[in-house]
Amino acid sequence: MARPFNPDLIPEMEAPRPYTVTELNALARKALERNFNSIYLVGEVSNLSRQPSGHVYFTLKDTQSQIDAVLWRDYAEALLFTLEPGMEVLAFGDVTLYTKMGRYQISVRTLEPRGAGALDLAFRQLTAKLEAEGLFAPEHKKELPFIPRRIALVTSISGDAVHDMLKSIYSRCANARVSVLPVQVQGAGASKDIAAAIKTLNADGGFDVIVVGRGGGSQEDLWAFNEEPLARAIYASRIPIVSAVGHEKDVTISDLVADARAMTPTQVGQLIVPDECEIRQRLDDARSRLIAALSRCAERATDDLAYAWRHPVFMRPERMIEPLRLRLTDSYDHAARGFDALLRVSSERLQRALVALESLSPLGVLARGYSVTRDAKRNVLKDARSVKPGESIETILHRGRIKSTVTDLEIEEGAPNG
Amino acid sequence: MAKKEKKESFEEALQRLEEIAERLERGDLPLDESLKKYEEGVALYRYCSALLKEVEHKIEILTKIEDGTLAATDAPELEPKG
Repeated sequence: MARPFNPDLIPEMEAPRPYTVTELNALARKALERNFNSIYLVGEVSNLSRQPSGHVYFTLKDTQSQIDAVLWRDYAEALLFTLEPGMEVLAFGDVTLYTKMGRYQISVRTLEPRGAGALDLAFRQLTAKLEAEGLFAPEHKKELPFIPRRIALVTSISGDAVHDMLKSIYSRCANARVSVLPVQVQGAGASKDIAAAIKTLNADGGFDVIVVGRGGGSQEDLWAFNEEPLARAIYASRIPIVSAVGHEKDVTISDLVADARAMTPTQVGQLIVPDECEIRQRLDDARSRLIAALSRCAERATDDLAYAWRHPVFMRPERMIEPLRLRLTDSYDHAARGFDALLRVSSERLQRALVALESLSPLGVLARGYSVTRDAKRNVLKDARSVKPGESIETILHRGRIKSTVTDLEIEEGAPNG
Repeated sequence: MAKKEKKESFEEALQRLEEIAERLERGDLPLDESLKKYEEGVALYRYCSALLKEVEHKIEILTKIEDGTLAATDAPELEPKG
């Protein structure tokens, strides 16, 4: 059976006062911070989580163990490359203890990828990202003007680059208007500075080509040209942009996004201005060709005219109507022949008609032996009853007449009367 | 026509001028057509020459002023030497 708690039963020895949890965590934190301040730690990134606040939480681990890690916003933003799970990193920071949860962690100040340098990695990562977004797409690249009326150079006023650019421009083209907009080309903020300059030039609207660039230097020196703000500003520019950064071997993201890349600042002129002598030569050539061609054209026209004038149409215009006249004569002859034939046929018909007419004449009948008899009143006698015996009658023969006296009548009974 | 040419770039104008010269050189155009082409060519030549004259030699430094616009100052010190 349990006995009630009796404090007297606790051993007589001097017992230490117990810690509170808060006290213990605070002490542990102090111990950690004192002994593991500014240390380097290698490990693999996992459980990566980016907070909306900008802080980044992750774990660093090796094959047997792991530790919580935190990258506060300011440090996270300063990181050039993008932290990814699985990445082997060398972290620099301070070990501490999150007292509220009693969990110990490393608060990371900087990180570097193991193997590749941070800049190389950042370059690869940003290149991949912008490429996927289409910022390097050839179809987005703008054409440079043939003769720029106003050129803007966005570069440092103190380096050699600006002089190299100007020299390369003016060696090709004596007449060029170049405006230099001085910017910081390296160090923190350079990328944003150049990006802002591009925006300002676009807002101004008076420029038709922009050159951004600088002379050669270390990877860190050229870094501004590998940063995202500048890449985006170049992409967004309505004015064509030429990137001229460092030497030929230094390919920057700015080179990849720009509409054209000059290998070096000394190559800028070749890209943005035409060879003025060549242009003038081409122009004058074209003019001479034009004049010569027109003269030849005029000569040819004169020749054509002379040739045309020698044509029989002009030399003997009467020949033009020869065929017509022939046709006319032909037609006339044809018509005349037709008319003759018609006339002949007609007169024959007339003749025949006359003969027929003649045969019907009473005189013609007389010639065949018939005769006509008339009474004293010259009425032609057709009926014997028209006369009486003793009356004088006259008979007309073909030739001559006979006068006689009626002596007797023979009446034909039933003969029609009158 | 002059209005249309205003928009035309130097390069386009020069190219067209060269095309016209070539077309005329072929010599197969009627005379009035040739004359038209010739006049067009001369206009293009004048236009190109004017464009060339328009661009002056000038080097200047730009400064951003408060309202975000740019001010230009002549910079003879940047004149290439030699």
